[in-house]
Order: sequence, then structure tokens, then C-alpha cells
Amino acid sequence: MSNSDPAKQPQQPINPQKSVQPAQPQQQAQPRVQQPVYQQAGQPAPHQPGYGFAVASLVLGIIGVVFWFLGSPLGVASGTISVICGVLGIVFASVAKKKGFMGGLATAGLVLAIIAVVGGVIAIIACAACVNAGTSMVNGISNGLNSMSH
Amino acid sequence: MLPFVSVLGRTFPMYGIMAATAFVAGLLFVMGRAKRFGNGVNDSIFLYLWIAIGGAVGAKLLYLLTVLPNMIRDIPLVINDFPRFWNLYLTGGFVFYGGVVGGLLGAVMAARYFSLTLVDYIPQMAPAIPLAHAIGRIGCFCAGCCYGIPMRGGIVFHHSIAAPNGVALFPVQLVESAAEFVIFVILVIATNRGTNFQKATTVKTDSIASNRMKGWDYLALYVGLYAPVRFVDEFFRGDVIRGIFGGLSTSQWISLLAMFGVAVYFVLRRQGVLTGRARLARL
Repeated sequence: MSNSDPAKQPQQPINPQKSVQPAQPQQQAQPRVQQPVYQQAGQPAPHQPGYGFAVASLVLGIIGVVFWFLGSPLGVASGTISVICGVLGIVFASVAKKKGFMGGLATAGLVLAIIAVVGGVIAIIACAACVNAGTSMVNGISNGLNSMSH
Repeated sequence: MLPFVSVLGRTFPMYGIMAATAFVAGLLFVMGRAKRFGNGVNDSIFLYLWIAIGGAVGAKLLYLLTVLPNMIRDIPLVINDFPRFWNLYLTGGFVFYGGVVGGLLGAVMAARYFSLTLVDYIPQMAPAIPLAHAIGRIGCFCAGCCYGIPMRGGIVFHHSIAAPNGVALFPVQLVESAAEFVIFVILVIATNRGTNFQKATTVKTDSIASNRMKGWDYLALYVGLYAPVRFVDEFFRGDVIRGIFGGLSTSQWISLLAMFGVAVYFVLRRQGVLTGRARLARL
């Protein structure tokens, strides 16, 4: 196939010449165009107001999700910690938004916080009106689990 | 009916799963309607989250209020046996009307904090309340809580953690869930019609436009539809431990007050004292 395209072969020595000459202006132009992009992608976040709250939201969201995944070894406590961390993560994400932080960091923190709350709620809330039953609720849960396992 | 499910070796309460499903369904519903009502998706999400947190706190606090004497009696458990105290009072137990009040307070706080005009979000978000509640009631049915009166040919629970097992009961949870779904559909149609009307007309001072439902009217409509349902529904509830005063349950008294309040609201609205956006719109 490459032999069937002789017309391209004479162009090959031309291309390097062309590519050498315009390469210099391109290289000169690159810093002008790319440097601001590089700064926006890497550096501006810490200088934005609310950055710390966004980071706190993300950290709490991660902790909440991790505790939810831990699950069984910690029992109800893991779900409770997930909910608390998730709610705090939502609050911190709200503060970051209020302060004008616009970035994926706060969004990621918010999403993880929501997941932590949802997971925690799934783990800890057994029913809507079981508290009234008091001790019978605790016994009922254990009896229900036992009867299901049998 | 099915209080727990096992997934990958872990046991989850079905009520918790349905509560989480209700939360997510409401969130997706609100996000999906943001553009139609001209509101920002981001603002809608934060507002919804604050409403959800406020609602959960309000529902829990009102419930704890109903069991306050017992909780005060069990305060020593906080030191002696905290897991037991936690199981008794903090893992479950919510009163819906407390959630409505708490959610409203959460909405007001969020609107003030983010400098939003709350009334613009009411038509968008109001149907999410019955949607979430309807799904939550299915969770009640799964857990067996909020159960109905004994009746022949009713639902028989075998593994319930709250309802009496082996007794045929009226499936009041499913009935209320169905009613909530109907209210949800009504609210969606009403709010969509309101939006279409606002898009169709540009004369906002027109008398017809002023009589159209808008803003807070949709929340009043929801309360006006739900309160009678709850009032009747309570006669078929079998869990009487929620408190009976003067022959009516706590929720029935609140329903009566809510119906009275909504009636007053719409009378004032009809007389032109309220406009659906007046005063409260500043929130």
C-alpha cells in the first residue's frame, strides 16, 4: 500500500522543512496559550474562597463512605458515623458554595457526602415507628433475624 | 413482610433501603425539573439536601417529644448502656408532620443562606414530598411498622419487628402509599399546568393570572390533600401507642389543624389578601 502512493514520497522531504520553520513560532506561541491553562488547572483552587471547606467536604465524604463499607464489624456505629460525616460533608459543601468556590472538589465532596448519608440511612434505620416498642423492638429484630436464618 | 434483606453477606433493613430510595428519588425528581421551572440545578440540589436534613431532624425531634417521659426515665442508660439507649430512641422513630415543619425550616434557612427566593422553588419541589413519602410507606409495609387494624382477609406478617405476627391486618401502609402517589400525580399535573400558563402569558397583572395557583399555593394544596387522607387513614391504624387525645390520635389533631390552616389560606387567597407570592416570597 505504501508503494502504491508514490505521490506522498516527494512530499516527505518537504514536510520536515515546513515543520521545522513553523515549529519555532509554535513553540514560541505555546507558552502564551498553554501557561494560563496550566495555572488554572493546577494552582487556582487553594486561592479560591471556600477551598478549605471543599476539601473538608471531600474528606468527610470519603470517611463516611469508608465507614459505611466497613459495615458489619462496627455494627450500627459505622452507619451512624457515615450519616454524621455525610451531613457534615453536605454542610461544608454548602459553605464552600456560599463562599463562591466553583470546582470539582466541592462537587465530589457533595456526591460522596450524599452517598455516605444514603448508605448510613440504609444501615441504621430499621423502621419508622419502632422506638415506641422499646425493648420489644430490639428483641423483635433479633427474633426476626433468627427466624429468617432458620 | 420483609424487614431485612441480605446482600453479599450483609443484612440491611428494608425500611432503611426504602428511605434511602425515597431520598434519591426525590433528589432526581427535583434535579430533573429544575430547568423546566427556570431554577439552577446546583441550587436545587443544595436546597433539597437542606430540606431533607431539616425534615429528618424535625421528624425525629417530634417523635422524641412524644416519648419524652420514657426517654428522661432512661437517661441513665446513656452512661450505663449506651447501645441500648441508642437502639431504643435513636435508630428509628419519626413523625411525618414533624418532618414537614423541619423541612420547611430547613428550606427557609437554605434560602436565606444561599440568597434564594424560596417561593420560586416551591412548584418545582412540592411534588417530591408525596413521592418520597409514598416510597417510605412501602418501607413501613416491609418492616411492619405503622400497621393497620386487625381485619379478616388482611395481610399477615410473619417476621415483623413491630406489627403483631400471625394476625391478619389491614394494609394501611399500602393504602396510604397509593394515596400519596395519587397526590404526587395531582401535584405534578398542577405545577406543570401552572408553568405552562406562566410561559403562555406575559400579562402578570391579569386577573386570571392572579387567580392561578402559584408559589406557596402548591404547598398548601399538598397539605390540603394529604391532611384528610391522614385523618381518615388514622382510623385504620392499629399502632395506637402513638397517643390518643379526646378520641383522636396526635396525627389526627395535627391533620385537623392543617386542614383549618389550608382553608384559611385559600379563603384569604381568594379574597386577595394573599397572592401566593406575598410576604413569604421574601423568604
